[in-house]
Amino acid sequence: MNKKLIGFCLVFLMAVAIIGPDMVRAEEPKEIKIGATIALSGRFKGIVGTFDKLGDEWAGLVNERGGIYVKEYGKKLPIRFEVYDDASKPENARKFYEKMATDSSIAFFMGPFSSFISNAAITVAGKHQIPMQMVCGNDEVLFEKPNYWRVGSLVPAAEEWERLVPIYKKKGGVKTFATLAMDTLHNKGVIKGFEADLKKNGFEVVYSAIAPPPTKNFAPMITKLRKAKPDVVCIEALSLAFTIGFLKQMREAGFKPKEIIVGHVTKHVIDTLGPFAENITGLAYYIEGDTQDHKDFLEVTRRAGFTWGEFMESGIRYWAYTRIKQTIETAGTLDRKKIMDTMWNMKSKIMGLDNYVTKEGYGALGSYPCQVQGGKFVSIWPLEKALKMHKYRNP
Amino acid sequence: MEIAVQLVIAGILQGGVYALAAFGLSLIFGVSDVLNLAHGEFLMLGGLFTFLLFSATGLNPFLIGLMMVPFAFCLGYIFDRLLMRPLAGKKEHIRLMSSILVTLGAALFIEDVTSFLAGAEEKGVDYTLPSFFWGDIFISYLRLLAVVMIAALTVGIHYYLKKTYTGRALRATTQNIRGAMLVGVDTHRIRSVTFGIGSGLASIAGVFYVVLLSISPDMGLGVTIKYLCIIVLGGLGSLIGSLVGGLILGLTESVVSYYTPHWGQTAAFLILVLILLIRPKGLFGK
Repeated sequence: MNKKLIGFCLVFLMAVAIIGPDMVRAEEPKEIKIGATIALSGRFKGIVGTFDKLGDEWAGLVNERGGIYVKEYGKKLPIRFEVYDDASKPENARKFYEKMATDSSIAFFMGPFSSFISNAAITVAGKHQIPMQMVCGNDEVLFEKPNYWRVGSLVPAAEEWERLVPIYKKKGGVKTFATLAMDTLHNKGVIKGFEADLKKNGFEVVYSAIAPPPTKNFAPMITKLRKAKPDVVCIEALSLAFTIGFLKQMREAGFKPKEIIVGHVTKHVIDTLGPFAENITGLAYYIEGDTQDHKDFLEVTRRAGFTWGEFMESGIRYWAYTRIKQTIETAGTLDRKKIMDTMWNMKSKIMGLDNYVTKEGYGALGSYPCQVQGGKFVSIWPLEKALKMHKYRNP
Repeated sequence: MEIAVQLVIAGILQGGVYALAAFGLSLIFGVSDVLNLAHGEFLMLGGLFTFLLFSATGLNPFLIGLMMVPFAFCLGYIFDRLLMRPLAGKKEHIRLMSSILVTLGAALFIEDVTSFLAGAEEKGVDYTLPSFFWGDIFISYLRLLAVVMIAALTVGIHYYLKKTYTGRALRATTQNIRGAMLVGVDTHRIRSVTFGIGSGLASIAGVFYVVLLSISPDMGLGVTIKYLCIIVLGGLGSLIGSLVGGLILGLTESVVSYYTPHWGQTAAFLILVLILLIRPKGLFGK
């Protein structure tokens, strides 16, 4: 009797284990839930700002219009983000994504901030076969190993600064460059690509250094920089403390190159440097336009309480949100495999720009030159506009 | 030659900034035998209030810093009164361990509350002084000010310890707590005063920090560890040791970073290990 009962229980449990998840999945969801971690504290906080709020405001805007249409259910479903603070640490991100992977109602993962943390997150997406739309992750290390369950939003890191070179080539007046990168995957990737691009176009790189993230004393590097006398000084760092420290010490040293390029200019950099920030050249993942996406993006940032120029990475997030929406509408289902197939194959327009994924998994969003003018970060792209608007700091 | 001079100057000036922040930590350890892991948080709070008042009033940040010293003193005094005094009667090793845990907890608490109330992003003050140039060599007046201040503080605190009643009581407490109690020194009050002075010094260092670099709520523990290394290098509890420790760290970083920025900090900590191998109690430790 007991053996029969135990046998029945075992068979029942096995049956539940096998068909249970499918039964749950087949149930019509009440909402589309997207799981993500963001660096709401820690060293990336300065660049990330309040992107959790940005996501909520975007979801709010979509939900005001009824939600996202899912053909399989014949109706629109509201969308919601479940966000955790990874404190700028990959181990935290991995832990939270693992936790969310146990929640069958999560339809999508959105990637965390930075290649460094994304590298930890994509392993969870791959392991549990949950679609992940990466946001701020474009270093080659993320795409070296095949992982079907993640796609990027951005072009490779090495191509991020490519739109700056034509400006200097057409405008003239500068020949020599110096670069300083913070030691992270992304920063090194960007500078490596930029230096190759400069050399290909006949410019000379007279100084190139990589410094660890906690660096506070930049005086030795600036001493060497002064000796090298570059026309342009480029600094690429995901930590604002690093960028601000370097620029303040440059000011102390009275070092005045013709041009300064800063990879990640945000409101905090401009506020902290005051007038010294004027005419710093940088890049943003945004180009001005007049599409519905532009209107929605500006509305969402307004509701979140900042402008695109204050947090130049906000454009990537809008791009990723829109990719998720388009993917669900195109796939017509929340089936994870079909969603992922669509993410790889979908071709569309976002903010008037081509949206696709390369065979390695990179996205199509690049960055566009901007400059601090009148205390604000303003877009100076396309090239004709840049040639008119761009100003050297010390001509 | 010019480069060598410039690197030495840059190293000394940077070392001065380090020493200024490490000074208070050393003083607290010298008197109370407490490794105050919340020291960096007091520095951060000094920088944060300077930032807030500078943004609101536009006053000179160093003037704001001076105005803040009494408040920082009171904060340190209360911190000791509420959190450290209950540990004072415990056995030495228990007191040391407990104080580490309590100050670590306090550091995390201050970090989270500050992050919640004032935001977690970087904050900095847009203030500078013109530097002095001699050919290719430059001296930053801002950093020179930090070195002058640390020199003045070393002399000032030296005289305070030698000439005033509280100073003598403080030294007596450091040397022999029971003896001090026997001759009528209120050792509890002396410890609280020391915490107050240490916090005041940290807040002044915070002003330099927010002017020269930037601050954020989560910076505290990182800087505390660095300053802990400085006072260990100089000898725990030795004021002159923290000054020399800061200068050694600054100079090493400066020279090595010139050739390879990546190894600047590592080299500085290697020096620390080497010195501790030769003199386990630090350069001026007894």
